[in-house]
Formats: sequence, C-alpha cells, structure tokens
Amino acid sequence: MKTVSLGQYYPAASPLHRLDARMKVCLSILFIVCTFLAKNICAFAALVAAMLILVALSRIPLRLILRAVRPVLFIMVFTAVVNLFVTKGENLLFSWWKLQIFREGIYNASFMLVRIITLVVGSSLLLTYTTTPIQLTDAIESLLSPLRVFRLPVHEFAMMMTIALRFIPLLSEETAKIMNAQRARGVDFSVGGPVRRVQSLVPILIPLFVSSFRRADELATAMECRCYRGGKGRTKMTIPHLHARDGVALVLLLLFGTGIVLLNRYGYGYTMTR
Amino acid sequence: MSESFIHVKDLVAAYEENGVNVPVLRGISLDIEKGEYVAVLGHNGSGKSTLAKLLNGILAPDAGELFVAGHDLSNPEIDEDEIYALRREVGMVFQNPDNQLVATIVEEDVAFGPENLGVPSAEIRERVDRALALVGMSDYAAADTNCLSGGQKQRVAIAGLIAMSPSLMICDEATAMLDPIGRREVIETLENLNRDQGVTVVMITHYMNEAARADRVIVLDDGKILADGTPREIFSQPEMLRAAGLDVPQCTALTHALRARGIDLPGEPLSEEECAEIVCRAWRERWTK
Amino acid sequence: MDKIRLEHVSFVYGDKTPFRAEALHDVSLSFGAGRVTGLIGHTGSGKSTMLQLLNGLEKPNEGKIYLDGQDIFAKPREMRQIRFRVGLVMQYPEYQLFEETVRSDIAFGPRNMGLSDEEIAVRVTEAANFTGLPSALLDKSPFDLSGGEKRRAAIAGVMAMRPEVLVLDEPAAGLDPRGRDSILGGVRAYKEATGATVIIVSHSMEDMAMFCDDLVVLSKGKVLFTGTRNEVFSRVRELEEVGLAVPQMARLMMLLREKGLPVPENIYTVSAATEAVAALFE
Repeated sequence: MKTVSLGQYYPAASPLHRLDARMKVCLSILFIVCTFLAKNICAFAALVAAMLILVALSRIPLRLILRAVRPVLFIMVFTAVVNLFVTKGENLLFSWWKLQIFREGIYNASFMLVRIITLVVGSSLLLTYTTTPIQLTDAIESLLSPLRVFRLPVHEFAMMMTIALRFIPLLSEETAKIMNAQRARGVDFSVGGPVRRVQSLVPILIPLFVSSFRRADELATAMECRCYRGGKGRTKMTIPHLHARDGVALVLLLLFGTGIVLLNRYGYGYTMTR
Repeated sequence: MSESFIHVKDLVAAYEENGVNVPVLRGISLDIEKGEYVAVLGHNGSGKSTLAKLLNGILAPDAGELFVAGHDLSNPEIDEDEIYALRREVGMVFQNPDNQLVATIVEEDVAFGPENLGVPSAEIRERVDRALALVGMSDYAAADTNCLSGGQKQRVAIAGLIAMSPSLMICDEATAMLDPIGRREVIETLENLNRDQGVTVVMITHYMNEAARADRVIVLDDGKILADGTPREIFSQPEMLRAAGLDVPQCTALTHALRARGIDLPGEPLSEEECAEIVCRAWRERWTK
Repeated sequence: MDKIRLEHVSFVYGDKTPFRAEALHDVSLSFGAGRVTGLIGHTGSGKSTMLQLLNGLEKPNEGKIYLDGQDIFAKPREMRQIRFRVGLVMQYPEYQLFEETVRSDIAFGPRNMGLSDEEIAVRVTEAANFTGLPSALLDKSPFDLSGGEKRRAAIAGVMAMRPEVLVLDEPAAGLDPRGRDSILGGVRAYKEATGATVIIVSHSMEDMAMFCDDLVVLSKGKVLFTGTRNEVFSRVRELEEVGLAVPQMARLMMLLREKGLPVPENIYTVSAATEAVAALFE
C-alpha cells in the first residue's frame, strides 16, 4: 500500500506538538513580526538563538528542517545579492564599473539572510511541521469565527478545507491509477514536444474530472443523509481548551519580542536602515 | 396511518430521460416491521436502489403510499424539516466507502452526524465512543480514514450512522466494492446491530450468501416484487431466481438437480454443511433399506 | 511452453522512505502459453502489483520478467510494444473512459499503436463483438452507458489492441450476476478467437473454478502454491488455513468425504457434483 503524506507534518511527541493549534497560529505570527523587528546584530543573534531553541524543542531531524529552506533558496540568494549591491553607505569596500559594495551592504545582506532563514524555519516549526492539516483547519476556523458577524462564510470555508484534506490523497491515488490505465493503452507521457505532452494529459484529466464530480455528488448526498444543513445549529465534539503551557509559550514569546525591541535600542553595532 | 414501521402500497416511481417517462418501480407493496432484517435482491436496474432512495427521502414517489417510521413520504407537500426528522431515524450506507466519509480522522467523521443534530459536546463524545465500540473500530478512533481497508471504512460509515441513533439502516449495495473479508466484516456488524440493538436492517444486494442470512428476502425484478419470503422459501425456487437475473445458490441448484433425478432429499439447504447433512442422511437410508 | 516467466522478482513500494512496504518477495513462476491462469490471494497479497509488473507499468526492484524468453525491461524504448502485447485491464477499468464516443474510446489503444484507419475500424468492431456491446451503443458517449456496459467498453478498449496476453484485475468486481457472466463470456470469446494467454484475478472461487486451467495462490507477497486447477483446489484445508475460500462444491465434496461418503476429488461445479452424488445412490 502506498502512503500519501500531506503537507510537512512530522509526528513526534514534543512540547511544540502539544501546544494548541490556535495558539501556534498566533505564536508564528508573533515570531514573524519579531524577525522583522530585529535591526542589529544583537537582535539577530537573539533570533538565531530562539530558532535553535525551537529546533531543539521540536525533536524533528535537522535534515527535514533544512528541506523547508530549500524552496526559498532562490529568494534568499536574490534578496542577499540585491541588498549587497543596492545598499549605499560610508565604508566603500569594493568598486568596479557601476558596482559598488559597502560594508553596510554586507551587513544588510547577511541580516536579510538570517531574517529569511529564521522566518521560514521558525514558522514551519511552529506550524506545518508540528500541526496536522486538520488541526490547522480547525484552528483557522476558530480564529476566524468572530468574522461571522460580518456574514463571512467561515464554517463553509472550514468544511471545504476539511473535505479537501480528506479527498486530496484519494484523488492523487486515483490520478496514478488512471495514468497507469492509459499507459497500458500505449500513452507515453515522456516523449514528444510540449503540445504532444499537453495532449497526452487529456485522457487523464477527463476521467479525473468525471470521477471528481461523481464523488462530489455522492458525498453531498451522503452528507445530506447525515442531516447536514450548513453551520447553523451545529455543535462540535471537541471544544479545544487552552492549557497553562499555551499561556507560558505566549508569555515567553512576548518577552522575546520585548527583548528584540530592547536589543534594537540598546545593542551595539550597525543598525539596519530598512 | 399505518401500523407498520415501513408501509409501502402500490408505490410507483419513474424518471425522465430525453422527455420519455421511464418507470422504475411499477406498483410495489410491502410492510416491514420494527426489528426485521430484510434483504432486497435484484439485478442492476431492477429498481432496488430506487427503493432504497425512496425510503430515505432522497427521491420522492410518483404515486402510491409510502410511510417510514411514521413519516408520510407520499405526501407531495412534505417539508424539509420532516425529511430531516426522517433521516435522524433512517441511516443509509452507500456503495462506495470512499465517498461517504467526510472527515479524515475516524472519530471526527463519526461525530459529523451528531454534530449536525446539535447534540451537546460531551454527549457526542459518548455516542462516538459507543458507536465505534459497536462496530469494533475503537482501536482506530484516531486513525486516518485513508489508511483503512474497504471493510473498515464501511464500518466507520456505519458507526457514523449509529451515532445518530437510527432505528432503521438501509444498505444500498454496501458490500459490492469490498473483498470477501470486508464483506464478512460489514455483514457481521449489521447482524450484531440487528440482534443486539434492535435496529431494523434493509439490505440491498445481489449476493445470495448475504441474503441467505437475512430473516426475510424480497426479490425485485423489473420494478415489481417477484417473491417475498424466508430465505428457504425463496431459494427453493431456482427458476424464479434465474428469471430475476440472480445466481442460484450452488447447494440449492445441486439438491434440485438431484431431486430431478429421483433422489429424495428433504428440506432446502442454505449452507454446504446443511447440504452435506441432508445428502449423507439420504445416502445412509438408501443403503440401509 | 511459458509465455511469461518471472525469476526471483521482488517489488518494494516507497523504498528508502519511512513508508517502505514490500509487495512481492522473491517470486518465481511462469504462465503457460494459451492457458488461463487465475491469481488468488487476499487484498494486499501482491496480486495487483504482480499484474502491473507483467506489462512493465512497474519495474521490479530485483529479478527479471521474460515475455517469450525476452527480458521485457532490456530495451526501455520498446516498453510500449510490450504493453501492446500484454494488455492490462485494471480494476474498475470504466474509470479510464474519456473519449466522446464509445467507438473512439475503444480505438484509443489501436490509434496509439499507429494502425491504419481501416485496421482500427476492424479492431473496434471485433472487440465490441467479443464483449457483446451492441453496435448501437458505439456512437453514444461512454458516460451515458450503464455500469456493466461501461465495463465492457473499457475491456474492449484493451482487446482492440489484440494483445497476446490478456491480464484482468477483478474484471467482474461489483457487477450483478448477468454483468459478471457477460464479462467472463467476453474474455472467453477473446481467448477462443485469438488463442491468447489469459491471466485473471478474482475473489470468486466459483468463477475461478469454472474459468481457469491453472491457479497461482499468493500470500503476503510470496507464492504459496501453483499448479493446475485440480492440484490447487484439492488443498481445501490448506487454503482455508490462510483464510481463502474454496469453490462451494469442492467444500461440499470434502464435507461428504469426511462423513465417509466415497465421492471423488476434483469436483468444483454443480454439474460435476450432481453426477458424483447421483452415482452414490445407484
């Protein structure tokens, strides 16, 4: 049996896994704000330290965590290079033709690198690596629920997410099956130019659409038979409760944010201009 | 209003295709009492799935009487609230196990029905635990539904209905997509519910060995009831079964073929064990005389 | 003569991941040319995996597969030719239908083979005949057919490639008795007309007893035993031990033998059983 894993969730019993998902959404937003608050070397050092603590707390193999950084590698390099050449300062280190590198540029570039790495690693540790997609959906529904006052379809959105999470693995398995069935009838997906390749997708996409519509239809009937009438009058089996540890985590992160602000003011060394 | 739990009289249902009226059920009448375990047999297109959908208010009848659990479904002005009230009492298990589970986690899916009914949280928890225990899936409460076998998925679907405490379960070819092990799991689960919880079961199928275990078998063909009786009564009519496009159980076919050759075999065997017993007794009598 | 031979074939899903699962372990067996071989085993015994190896949809991690003595993976560029020679009908094949008409859907395989229009038309008619699809249905949309008709159209789509080996994964799953009989009848018609080798998976032991010359029993990714139908079905108790059923009549005959009645072995059908039991009374 092939197993389709969704998202980046890594099952483990760590303090980060145990935190309430809603709290983790708030914490990761706070952490992202912190990465943008940091302005000087002391503040960035604190960020790196915080990130390392999160890594240690999460009990997730380092190899997997580094994988989260890979997709943003290009953005990192690009931002660093732009900062390196665009920043104008007082200490010119290098000049050739129209390109000038200032010491401030090197600082800015390396600060930006640290900012992106801590941002990506911190938020994935707090959210995607330690929270299942289902917990995440529930958390978002719960956090958005005040918006119901403005007649936003929060429940419907959450139900859509729930169903999507349930059916994505099924559909991906089905895609593989249909591809095999058509390969057995002589379709070769690896040859030909772009036009031919797009053409060879038709025998996959049509059956996939037909089957998705049939599934949607059957699921809708099944849901109605189970008395689903939208979010009105609905209750929930699990009402999530915040625990002491969630409060402690929030206080720690708020203290950390305050620390960053203080370090920005009283720390020494170069301060980022932007 | 009728006394029976399910009361169907002269029921007619049809659908339109390209402007042509295609009859599916052509006047069927039957009564099912509370606590019965009824198998409805028929080939594809015999109208058996339409009957299931009528019993649950998914389709509306064109003519005739249809009462289920005290609700008059033949009333054309029936309102939505009454349909939902009916569906609290009538659970429906569908053919494809994948297309009736809503949530990824087993217990969250089982909770879906009671959540819709607005049951208080603590009670939902109790109902879910009890339902999972009744179908023997307690160990999988926190499992991912995509990792279960077909039979397990159907049992979760059944638990999802049990959690709404229905008095009637309709299974629309709920075993057709399962392997023999999954089929056995589902049938045993339904039998337990019928026996221990008193849930009325209407099982739509074309598998004879599933029908053989029911209290009562109804054979549908071409939108009409061809036969209605105990499994033994039904299986003693191989010609009728063949005419209805159904398999004749092999032991039945054998005893009838042997009788045609003048070998006197008493009774209608429903299993290989019974058949062996009957043949053995007749053989001993034949040679002791 | 062997048509297909597997030598020490092993297959693993998700190798080098946490989800590693071995589907086949050191399997060696052969499928006789022109014979009908049934594959028996539980879900997860490796049956479906084995079928996908036979036409190169999956490649074994270890071992070799020979078609007419040639290693099918020797020339990756000619894989498509192998797939035309070993036609695979997957489970619930009606989900592969996609063309506007049944006719052009059946023609999809032959078109990929690069055949002429005349030849394709001949193949489509022939395949529709095998599966008993009335010609009136050929110009309909495949999505307007009934479940059983869709299944027949999908199987015709594989038969139209006129494969030397026809491989079917539970071709009658979910169909009612009439639908099942028409599918199995179609496979028989194809085999009789072309002399093809047939490899079939089914959970119905009665169908297997009626249909197959040889049987292969798989359990947990290994071959438990292989042999002619008679050889395999005579092992009633061993099959029941691994939780597999045997044909009802084979079971009945075994029960009669255990009660001391002198009935012969190798009886799997109602007509054979009738003869055997009637003989006891004469």
